[in-house]
Parts: sequence; C-alpha cells; structure tokens
Amino acid sequence: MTDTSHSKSVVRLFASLCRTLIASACISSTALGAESWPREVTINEVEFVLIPAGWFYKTGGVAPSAEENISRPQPQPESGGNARIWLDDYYLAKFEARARHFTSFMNSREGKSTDTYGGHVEGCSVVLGEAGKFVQSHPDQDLPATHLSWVLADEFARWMGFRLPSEAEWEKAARGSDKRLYPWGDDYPDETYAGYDQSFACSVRPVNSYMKGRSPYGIYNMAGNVREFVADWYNAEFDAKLKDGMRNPPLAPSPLTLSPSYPKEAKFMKGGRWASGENGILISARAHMAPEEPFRCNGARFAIDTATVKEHLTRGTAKIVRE
Amino acid sequence: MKNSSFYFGALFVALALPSSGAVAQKSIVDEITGIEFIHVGKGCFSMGADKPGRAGWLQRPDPPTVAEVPRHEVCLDAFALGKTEVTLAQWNKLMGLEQAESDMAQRPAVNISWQDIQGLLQKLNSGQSSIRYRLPTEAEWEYACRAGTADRPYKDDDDEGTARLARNAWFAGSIKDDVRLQPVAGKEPNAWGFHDMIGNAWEWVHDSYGHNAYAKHKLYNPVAMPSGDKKVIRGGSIRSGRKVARCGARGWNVDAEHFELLGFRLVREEARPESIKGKVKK
Repeated sequence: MTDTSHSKSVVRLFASLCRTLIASACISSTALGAESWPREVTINEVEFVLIPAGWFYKTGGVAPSAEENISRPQPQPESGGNARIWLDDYYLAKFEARARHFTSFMNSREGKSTDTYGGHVEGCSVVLGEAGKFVQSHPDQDLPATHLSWVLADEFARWMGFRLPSEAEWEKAARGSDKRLYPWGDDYPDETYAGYDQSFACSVRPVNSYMKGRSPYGIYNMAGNVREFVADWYNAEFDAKLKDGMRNPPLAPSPLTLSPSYPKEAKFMKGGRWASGENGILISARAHMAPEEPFRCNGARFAIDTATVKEHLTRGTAKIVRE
Repeated sequence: MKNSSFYFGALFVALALPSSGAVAQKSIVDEITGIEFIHVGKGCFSMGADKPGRAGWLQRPDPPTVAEVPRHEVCLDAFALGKTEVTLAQWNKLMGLEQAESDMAQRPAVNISWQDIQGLLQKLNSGQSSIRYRLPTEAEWEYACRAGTADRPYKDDDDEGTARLARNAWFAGSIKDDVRLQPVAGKEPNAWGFHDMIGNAWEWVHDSYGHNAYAKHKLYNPVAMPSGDKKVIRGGSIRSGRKVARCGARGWNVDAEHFELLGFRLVREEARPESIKGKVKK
C-alpha cells in the first residue's frame, strides 16, 4: 500500500472512531470520505470516476410520448433541470459497458435463457458464434455491449460486481453542478460531440470516442452511441414529487397507478442512441422499454457504491488511477 | 509576382486551370511529400461578424455564431496551401505505413490527432531541406476558403444556396444518409483552385480555440497561441448542414482526439536566409 492510501486508511479509521465516540460533534463520515476517496479507480477492468457528494439539478417529470417511446423535455429555456437534489459520494463508470466483458458474462450463463439478449445473429458487437459460444464481432475495436434488455443489463452489472445507476446518479454525472442541456454544456450538438443522427443498423463507436463530448467529470458518451439503462422504474407520480432540497432520493418504484399517457410498466434509458436526433441526446431525455425486451441500441453503464470501492481498496483489488 | 526562392531537386511548376472568374494560381507538386500546393498571394480580408445570428430554444443558432464576433480586418503574408486534404495514401507514405487499399487511398486521411500531426511535422522538418511544413493558421485557412468571396447570408429555405454549395462541397445537402468520406477533389474547386475546403472531412488548423479569439486577433498574420487542449477545426464535414458548411464556421476538438471525420491539409514554406519577421512561426 502506498503512503497515500495508508494515510487515507488512517483518516477513515479516525472517522469511524469519531463517529463512535463523539457522534454529534464530528463532521459526518460522508464529508470526511469526500476528501479521501480516490478520484478514479479501476475495478475488474472497469474504470470508475468519483462523483463527489453535492447538489445538482435533476430533470423533473417528463411526459413520454407513447408512440415514439421517447420523452420530450419540459420547456425550460433557462435551465436543463428542474429540482435541486443532493447525492452522497458514488462512482460511475467512465465508459459504457464493454462488449468484451459482456461476452465473458454471456458465456458464463450456461443453461440460462438468452431471450433477453437481442444480438445473437445481428449483434453490433457480440454475436453467438460457432459451438454455441458468444464472441466479439469486432474484437479489434473497444465497442460497447448492445442489444440489451433491462433485466439482462441488471444481471450483467451484478455479475461484474457492480450495479446500474439511478437516474439521479446518471444525471448528476452528466450535468455536473450547473444546468447544462448536454454533457459538454449548452452548445448545440454536431457530429464532433457525439455519435447520433446515424441511421445504419449498427452505427456504434468505440467506448472512448468523442473526447469533446465528455461530461464535467470526464465521462464519455453519455450522449449518443448506446442508450444506458438506469435502475429506476418509470413513475410519473414519483417524478412529480421531486422537490428542491431533497437528499438521496430512493429509486423510483414501479408505479401503482400507471400514467395514462404511458400505460406500460417500463424501465428507461438515458443519453440517447446513435440514431437519436439532437433532442434525444439531451441529458433530460428518456427512452422507455418493457424490462425484458431487448433492442439493438440498448446498452448500459455501471455504478458502484463507495462502500464496495472501500472493500476493493482494502483487499487490494482496486487500482487507483487518480488520487 | 516576385519569386527568388531556391529550389532543391526537380520541382514541377504548373498553372492551375482557372475556374470562371478565378485568377490563375501558381502551384507546385512538392517533391518530398508528393502534395500539390497552391500559392496564395499576400492580401487582406474581412474576418468575423458584427453580431451573431438568431438563436432559438433547442435549435442550432443561425450563423454567424457568437465565436465569430467581432468583424475585423486581417492581412496575411503569402503562403502555399495544399490543394486538397492530405489523403490516406499521402499520409501512409509520409508515415512509412503500408499502402492503403485503393478505395480508401484517395479519401482524406482521418483519425489523426493534432498531436499526431505535430509528430509528422517534426519528422518532415528535421531534414536538411530548407522547405518547412506546418498547419495553416485559422486566418490563412479562411482566406483560402473564401477565395475572395463572402459568406452568403443565411436563410432557412435556400435552394439556390444549397445547389451552389453542392457544386463544391460534400455536405449534408449534397449527399444522403450515413455516408462516410468521399475521395478528395471529387467536386469543383473554389475560385483559387482549392478542393473540399468545405465538407468531406473537417480540417485541423494550427490555432488554439477560444470563444473570444477574434477580439484578440492582430491585424497581421493573427494566430491564437497555445492555451489549453482545444484546437480549431474548420470547414465542416460531409455530415454538416448549411449552418456549419461555410467558410466562416469555427469548430474545435481536443488536440488528442482521433475522429473519423477530421483530417488536415498542410502549408509549405521555403525558409529564406533573411529575417522572417512577421511570418507565422511553426
């Protein structure tokens, strides 16, 4: 262990002692943690970026258009979000979930149904090869996994030792602390910022494309390329209850009364896809799907709790990329 | 035009065929790179705009953009600029790479970062020759793109403007769908003989990008000095609409980025024994 991580362990030990002995007089362990978490770590070959505790503007309720499956943002000329929400520290993956890891995952599931994957034959990055094994169709390119359903994305994330982010976590990582419309700011998109407005069956790009389109935390392809599942259910009532000042809201649960404008129970994705127009890659945009339904443009991005990162750091299974 | 340069080896001098209303431009096929360079005489032009165009909610703003303000005079020394974007064939030869497949060879070389280009330039400029190569400055690029013309005022439905642009440029109005790049020089050149200044691939130039660069432009040979990792790109791409596919449009990218629709063209300089004060340094 390096000196720095040793001193971080000391800080954490102090924090837990502090909490135990003089709870009310100490600053919260979360605040202490914010100063000691490494900014970037790699765990199980996936690069994670710390999203430090703080406020951000979360998009409020958006009504989906039932025909198109795409949500239109509320008209808010002066802002890109609607409610000022606090989130504690967490980590989000720098890149979309990779085809390379997805291939390993799919080949680990012998005997399980693969109906929740749509890409056996027409996968853009992972297909079913000979001898019944999944293979990368473009092993020379670092492509994201495509053709996912929500249930498969969720299973994949857990198999990797991670999870899907909440919509709040996803948006904070995309928007930073201001009210921007797109991950890079308010500049109107063009083909240099993101992979979008492309109509071929597989216009997918490597996960580290479009440096120009990175979010304030340096996260790639939050706009365009593959759409990214979040953990929440679509729930219009939950959306409507989001208010300024809320801290660490829970995941949106499956709605008891489904919205009349969108009668199907649905999960949703963020960020838009390679075929999206400019409005489809807004931070506020959502794309809805039934949880077991796969589609070619559907991908994922992993999240991980600080508690899990801490375990990995202690065991030595996390590589610190940036302190 | 006064020309007292000293040539090494055999150089081929040809007169570019003038298009209607154009002045014949002297061009040379450079022996070292195989690239044809067209001479641009020294001159002045009006760069930028007085005020930006209309901006609407969730719409691409009308040109000119905020980054093109203010309008200012620019005067440039003579320079020689590549007639086309550097092709994949030329890039591979210069980098000592394998020959490209024939259908890709004449397309612009892309997926090349600004930093990669600096590496190439270091290599090219390290020899005994008095010839030096560099990227054009943003002002030089725009001057050569305009070739004495001004941007047509923008309006949404402009069939005539679209048709005119389509004669010189591969852009969103001249080609449908998700097509990647076209071979260079497939469209008519501009009035000074340059091909694909607009459309096909975006082009790196030398300048660092700043929103406010024009307010700091000097009158003579302006260039934005290095600051940060953003560099200017010009000309739009095959996917650009008319708001971007124009000589005045300013773009940028991260200097380490490799992008499939972003290439470059070069400037060729013959270093003179006397002082080069006023010239842009590489």
